[in-house]
Amino acid sequence: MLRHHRIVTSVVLFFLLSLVLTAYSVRNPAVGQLGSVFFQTLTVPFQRTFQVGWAQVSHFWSGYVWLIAAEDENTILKKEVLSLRSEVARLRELSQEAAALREILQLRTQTGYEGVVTSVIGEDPSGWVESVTIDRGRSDRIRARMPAILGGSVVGQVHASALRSAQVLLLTDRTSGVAGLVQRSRARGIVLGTGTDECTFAYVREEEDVLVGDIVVTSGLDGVFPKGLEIGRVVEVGESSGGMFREIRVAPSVDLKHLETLFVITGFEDSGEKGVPSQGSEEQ
Amino acid sequence: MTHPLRLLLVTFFVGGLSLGIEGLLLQIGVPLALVPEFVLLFVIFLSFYVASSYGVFLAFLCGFLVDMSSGGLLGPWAGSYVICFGAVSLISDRIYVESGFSLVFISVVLTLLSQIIYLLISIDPFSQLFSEWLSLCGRAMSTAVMAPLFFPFLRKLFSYSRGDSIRGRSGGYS
Repeated sequence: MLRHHRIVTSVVLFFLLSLVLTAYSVRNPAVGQLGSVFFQTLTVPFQRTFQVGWAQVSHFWSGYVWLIAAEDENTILKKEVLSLRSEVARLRELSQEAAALREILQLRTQTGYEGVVTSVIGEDPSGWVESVTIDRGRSDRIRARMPAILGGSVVGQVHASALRSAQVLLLTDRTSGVAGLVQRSRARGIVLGTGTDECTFAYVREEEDVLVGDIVVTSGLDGVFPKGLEIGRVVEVGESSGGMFREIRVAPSVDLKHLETLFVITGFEDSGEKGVPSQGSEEQ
Repeated sequence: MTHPLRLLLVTFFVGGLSLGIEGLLLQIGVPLALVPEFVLLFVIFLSFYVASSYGVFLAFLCGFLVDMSSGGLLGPWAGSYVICFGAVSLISDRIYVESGFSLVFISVVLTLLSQIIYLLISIDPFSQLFSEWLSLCGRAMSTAVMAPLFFPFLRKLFSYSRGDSIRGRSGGYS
């Protein structure tokens, strides 16, 4: 009973003390704030520890435990990645095609040539003839001996034309010949195919000025190609072995191994009427 | 574990820890209504196991810690916890503290009581009481749920067994 009395007495005293404290802190709010600052200073280490601990737990939970649906999500995402990859590849193809067409269109605007944009659909399977097959033919006014170009550079000439396809003999074929001249010195000759990646610039006289790096363009004398189309660049100039002409090698400007789109000039009036003929041009 | 100084230190430790847990729960987005009043649970624990004048002082100290942490008035929580302590300690002989049910019941009642006393001491009680009654009930329930879990931890911390508590009451620190 005595203990109860003591407790009641203590409770009353401490309650009165708390009322006094409350009244004092009402009059002096700074005291309460001071207490808060003191408390914060004491508990900051604990709070930081809790914070770090919670961050670790949260990381563990979200990074390891909460992965129930990860497998399904992974499968879905993999499918999506595959789909997007094929889409990217398709768009990349379209982009390259658009770039090639833009180049052709630019040439058409600059030179004013009438022509047909074609896609390469095949190559000569035998490997003996340097030629490609395009998807346009006589129905699109494509005839034999019409020049095929890409980006202002000579690719070859139409060798044979079917109704809906045509065969283009490439510049590098052994039977190919294009009248050309050195852009810098105006030295004339004929660019002949060799069956390799390079051509020979033949019939250039000994006294002509030709240097490695010179650009060879069409001279227009063959009546097949308009004047001024780039053929290639001189990569080797050899001395004549007692003859009249120099031995010059020319690398084509166009990568003939990776053709996809060509522009066949159909509106060149001189086509097929004069100049150096290709040796095997017949309509199919 | 009955030395007054050690009790004082443990009170500071548990009080700080309890406030830290409450603060953390609020910080991680737990609604206030669901944050248990761990400090009050500690006061209830004291009212059972340190039912003496010294226990009243410790309860006052716990309330004072809460007041300091709130940054508002100094005193309302201290007064509220002292009343709660007194109310339970006077009837603690008649309550079977090992029972989870009695703990839950006492926790609900004392949480509501402490909040009401706090409001009575500090600010306009009626408007707050009516506007926050749902939150008060939520806190009371969450505190009650935590009581059976928190008490074994405190018993372990204070190394109290049932026999110790009886001896503690008969001895007291008055």
